[in-house]
Amino acid sequence: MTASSPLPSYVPILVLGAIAAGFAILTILFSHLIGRPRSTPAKSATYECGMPPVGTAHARFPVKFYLVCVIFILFDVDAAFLYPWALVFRELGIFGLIEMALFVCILGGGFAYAWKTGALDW
Amino acid sequence: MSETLLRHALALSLALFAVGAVGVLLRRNVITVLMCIELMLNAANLALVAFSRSWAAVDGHVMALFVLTVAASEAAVGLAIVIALQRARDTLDVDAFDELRG
Amino acid sequence: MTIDFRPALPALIVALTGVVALVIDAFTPRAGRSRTQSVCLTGLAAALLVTFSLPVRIGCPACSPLTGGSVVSDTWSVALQALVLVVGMLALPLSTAYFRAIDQDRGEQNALIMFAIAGMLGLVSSVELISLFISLEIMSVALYALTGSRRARSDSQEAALKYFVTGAFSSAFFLYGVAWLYGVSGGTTFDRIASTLASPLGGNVGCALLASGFLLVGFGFKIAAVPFHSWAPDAYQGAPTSVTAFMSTAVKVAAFGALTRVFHGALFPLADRWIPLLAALAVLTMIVGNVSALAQRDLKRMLAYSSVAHAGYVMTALVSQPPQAAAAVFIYLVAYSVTNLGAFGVLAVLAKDGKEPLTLADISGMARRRPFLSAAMAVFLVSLTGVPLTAGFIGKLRVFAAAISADHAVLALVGLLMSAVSAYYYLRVVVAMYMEPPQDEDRWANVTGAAGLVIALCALAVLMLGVFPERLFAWAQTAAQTFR
Repeated sequence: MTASSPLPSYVPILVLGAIAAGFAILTILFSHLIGRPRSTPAKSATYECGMPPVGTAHARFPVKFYLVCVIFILFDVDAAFLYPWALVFRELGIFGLIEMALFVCILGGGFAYAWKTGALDW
Repeated sequence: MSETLLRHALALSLALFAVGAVGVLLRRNVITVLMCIELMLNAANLALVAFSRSWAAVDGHVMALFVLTVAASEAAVGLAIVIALQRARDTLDVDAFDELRG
Repeated sequence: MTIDFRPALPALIVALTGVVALVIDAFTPRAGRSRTQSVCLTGLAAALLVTFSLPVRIGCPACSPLTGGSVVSDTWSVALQALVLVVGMLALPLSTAYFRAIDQDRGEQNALIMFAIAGMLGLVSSVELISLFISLEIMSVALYALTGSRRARSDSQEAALKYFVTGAFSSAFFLYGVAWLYGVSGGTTFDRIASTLASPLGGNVGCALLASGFLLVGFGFKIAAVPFHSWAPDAYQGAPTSVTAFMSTAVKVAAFGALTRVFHGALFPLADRWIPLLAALAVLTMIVGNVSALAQRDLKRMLAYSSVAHAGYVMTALVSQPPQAAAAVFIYLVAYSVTNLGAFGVLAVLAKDGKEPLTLADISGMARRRPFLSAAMAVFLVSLTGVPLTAGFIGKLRVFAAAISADHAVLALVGLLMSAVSAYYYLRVVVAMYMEPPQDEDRWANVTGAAGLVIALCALAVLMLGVFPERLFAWAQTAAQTFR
């Protein structure tokens, strides 16, 4: 199929989608209706098989950990824009350079803010 | 991209979206709800990329890239709110957040 | 490669001002008193100036999203961008006053308001799906953080979480609609989508309708239309009051601006299918919003349900033909924003030492101690009811006239009935302020300075627009030229 040809009819996909949605709803609904919430030690174990877990899952991480995680997510994903830019860097020329400089400056503003407010102090 | 492949990709995308949507409505843990929302966004991403291939155009791919970034910033703000709330209430069960009502 | 950046300039200016404000506040910390308000106001004023000085195109033939055709400067975008910027300039002083009263003025809220405004500017000027979605998200993410910006309070965090979860959920629906619309039309610009949908679709009409449905659900959450409104009372009640004032007005302006462009632009060939749906949503929204507001004791929650109801009034205009619908929507949005900003603003500026008026008892007899503020509040409430000689009346007149002209008189009838119902809960507040004895001690702040000026300006605007609406009609006429 190409861009010029008309798209195929999606009706079968819609039907499939409805079935998928129905299946998702039904399974969860049925397990709620049929099953009674019975808690056994085996059920509430962390893993059904393998090593017994050591310690409790509710051990607290320092909140700094989450803060660094959040900052990492943000700056990490922005790197995704650098790859396509690097690929077409020559074609874009000076225009691309200025664009990317602006982008990095905005990121730099965010980084300066995070640094200065102490979000990076471990 | 063959028509069958497009159909399969779209079917998978619809299924993922449905699972995510049902999960948001039924799950009670905030983190799980966050993960379900990510699932819905990625279902949309899959549809975008599949459509983009079938139209032999680049728009869908570009959009998928932007959606990734948007999803990350959403997740960051969401996690920040969850941390703040967890410190205030000491629970992650959405049913426990019922201070505001009337 | 030549890309025309000019249509995006207002949003870029506002966003960069936000970054600068963030950095300034981080590097010159002063406990509890940010100094970036003037920086942000300057940025908004500059953006307003640029908005008006850009060359105005009507429509955008032969624009591709890759060469700067994703946002345009047309009459609709200029009008709505100006409205968003003015609302932002009015909201900033309120926000500073409120955050100082609760001793949390760290400056971040100014930057977040700027980011949200940048998103809104993009939202109303997007003529293409990618930039539409990204603008929507820039706005939403900033607002989630703003809602939770009263750090010490768990109700603020709870409001933020509820707003975030429903907001992100609706964004996913929106994006899924965007994906399917792209799949059906093979392009992301509204022109391309409209021309595809106008041609015979064959088996794809179901997909197009599905996509439109997803988009409607996404927009429905953002404008808080029933049945997608459940987050609004919680978010509006828990958010810092000045933030509520901002988001109950500016978000509605931006979301309705984009909604009008998407449904009366890109999706207009399917109008026969979505108009009945929109009409049903409008009726539900008006009834549920107004009836729920009757039962509220908390003032912010009451105003929250009232703003749900007002979304319903705006939706009644959308069932008519494009130019008239757009003009009526614009008039209602102008009237509603100055009024509602003022009403929430009065509650915000009364805050003192971390406390603020929450119930009718808290403001009973206020007219004796604060005659001007009470008079302003009375003007806002009367305008929200839709009494003649106020902006609210002009707005309702135009949206109901639009509905009647499109043979949807029943919408206007429901709107009129519900306005009568709303008089009960709005005027109850006026009665409490004017007829009931004042409290023993005066616990609320004295309103001075910029925040007082904002309230006065809003009240003046409500009256001026109500008495001399011709100028507003002319603006709306111009703004609606985009839709022909």
